[in-house]
Amino acid sequence: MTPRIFFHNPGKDLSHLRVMTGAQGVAHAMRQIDPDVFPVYPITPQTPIIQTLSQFVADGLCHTHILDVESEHSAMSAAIGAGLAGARAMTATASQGLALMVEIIYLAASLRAPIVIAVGNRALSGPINIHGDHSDAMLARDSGAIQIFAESAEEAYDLTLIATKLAEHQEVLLPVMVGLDGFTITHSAEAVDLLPDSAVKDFVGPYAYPFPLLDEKKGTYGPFSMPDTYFELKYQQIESLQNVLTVFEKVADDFFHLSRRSYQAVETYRLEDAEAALVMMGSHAGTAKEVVDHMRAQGAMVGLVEIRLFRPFPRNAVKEALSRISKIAVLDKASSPGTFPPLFLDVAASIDKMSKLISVIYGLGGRNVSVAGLQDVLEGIVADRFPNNAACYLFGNKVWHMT
Amino acid sequence: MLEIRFHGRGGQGAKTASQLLAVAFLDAGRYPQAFPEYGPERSGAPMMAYTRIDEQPIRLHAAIIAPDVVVVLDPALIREQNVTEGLDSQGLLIVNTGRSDPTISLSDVEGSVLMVPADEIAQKAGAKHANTVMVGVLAALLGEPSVDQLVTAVDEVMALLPESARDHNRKSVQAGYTYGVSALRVLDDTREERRVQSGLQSSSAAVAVEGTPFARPGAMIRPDDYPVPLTGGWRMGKKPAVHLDRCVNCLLCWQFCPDGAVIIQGNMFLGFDYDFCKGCEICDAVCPTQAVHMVSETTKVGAWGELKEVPTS
Repeated sequence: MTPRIFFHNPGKDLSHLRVMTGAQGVAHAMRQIDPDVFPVYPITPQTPIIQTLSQFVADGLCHTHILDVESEHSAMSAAIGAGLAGARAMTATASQGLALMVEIIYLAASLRAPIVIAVGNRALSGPINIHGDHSDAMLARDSGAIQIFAESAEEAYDLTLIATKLAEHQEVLLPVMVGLDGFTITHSAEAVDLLPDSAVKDFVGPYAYPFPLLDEKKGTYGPFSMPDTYFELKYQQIESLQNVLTVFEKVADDFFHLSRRSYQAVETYRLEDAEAALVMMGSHAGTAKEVVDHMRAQGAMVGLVEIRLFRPFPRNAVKEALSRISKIAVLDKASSPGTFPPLFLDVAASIDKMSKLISVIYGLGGRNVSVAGLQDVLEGIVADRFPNNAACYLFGNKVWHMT
Repeated sequence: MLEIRFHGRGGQGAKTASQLLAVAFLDAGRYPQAFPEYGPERSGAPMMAYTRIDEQPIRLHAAIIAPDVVVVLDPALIREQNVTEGLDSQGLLIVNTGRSDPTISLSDVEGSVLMVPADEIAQKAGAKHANTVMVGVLAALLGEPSVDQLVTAVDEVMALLPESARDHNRKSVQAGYTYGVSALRVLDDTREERRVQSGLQSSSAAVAVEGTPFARPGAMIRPDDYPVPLTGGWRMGKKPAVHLDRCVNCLLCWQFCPDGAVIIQGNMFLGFDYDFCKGCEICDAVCPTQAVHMVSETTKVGAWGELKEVPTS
């Protein structure tokens, strides 16, 4: 027998790329940013982020003070303290850890503390499960933190850089959660193109919090707010989140000039002239692109809308992207028992009511999301197999309409 | 696109093998993706790792269900997992025969099967695990990446290990490659010679029917939900067995067994409960008369682990 030849073209020169997991990609971004303080508590599937970063610190490649705290609640508390004192603070967490942190993320947003939180998105207990879904992110949905979702290891790296600049932008000053799907991205090794250290340093710039605690002019941070001020302060926070839509575009543009890699709040794939489309976020959007290509090759008019910026929700961009699509399936990797899941509700509130819309819950607890399964969703909406607002579930290769 | 699935147990280096191959393929100018699939996160638990290779950047983030190649690092897994799932007539199955009977074979595989005494090859090279040997064999059968690219990848992926461990793995990857090159000559012939050894057919674990409600509400496992072993795939291919003639009934094994898997009646030792034994080998270690022996899972023993003949070792 001769060797089994799979590839007939000679290999390319890919020496600029390195094989690393999404978690390692995020750790490399953090090494390059070199935050001052990193309070953290380990949890699967985030652990390889802090493990890799700790190695970098031990090897003298960056100078971050890693603070081993006793819980995620304390991690975020310490990050807020450091951030407001005038130090660049970051942390990482997942699942139950994020659940414990959520209480303090609300405070970080209210105090306008620009903290980047890498989240290895994982299911919430119970039943206890270590694998990927977006339940944890949805728990922090209304906290006031910005949320961005990555599709690949390289995107996780890129978006950590973008998140830092976005969080610290003087018109924003808010915590940013960078979501990378647990295991599917955190533990999946792919080819990543790292930017030069110096270019990253220039891109993020020095940390400049405008009202540091250690300033000569002392102040009170996080004071009690009575009914006559709470509402206005909350409104101010709501408004600041809306600013993010323009700033994100600007930061992404800067990043494009640096890397030639383009990011938008809402990304469309083969949507021109499409009749049906999937709307989703995270790693499985990559799989969906393969499905779209495959179905397009067979003549189906299908496309994809990938939500990259989930909070603030880019309502107008979503409306614009879906304005000519008559059949839409919104895929949520999370549930909201008793009603429709979060992404579906956001999309439903954004689009023209002329389109037919269904909700599909998929991939909970790390359930494999197959090519066949996503294809069945698209085929189902193309063939009008489901009524408007159908609540569907993708357990495996076939989408089920539960009545 | 080339899709490879590794079957191993936590600690046998399946994940490392999948990443090593990915790094070497990148060096060969292909886009790689490597990812593990864990069950319970612990040493000894069956797990899988995957490597995907393509000429374009890989966007797929889905499990590999129809692999081109399957690599089995531990032959005992063949009983526990359906290692040939999704493998078609063009497929390639590479099995480490380990310390067990080298004539193990599979009847239901349509593709080519190669048995590799990888433990032995690794041992000669000084390496602890067979994973790097198997990667070497695989690269030889695929024609790429080159042995030099694999050796470079060993240095990158195992950068945190001591130089001696890297050296052993460089040697075992080279030895595996050499074995693979020579195996190319015989691979086609093996198809005809396959035979099934009883008890080695693959079995698939019980799974809930898609989209249907579970029989019981809530998350719980009851004894009747799973076939034996009742506590899952813990044992690493070896089970305890006893030669009763040598047993002096000291009950040390019973005292030390962490899982209550030593059966006694009154004060009399009777044997082992294979439903609950996790193969930790403590009974073997504490037995003062060498009555207890760890034997291959396939060794025929009495219902409670009684050995008919005294092993010579």
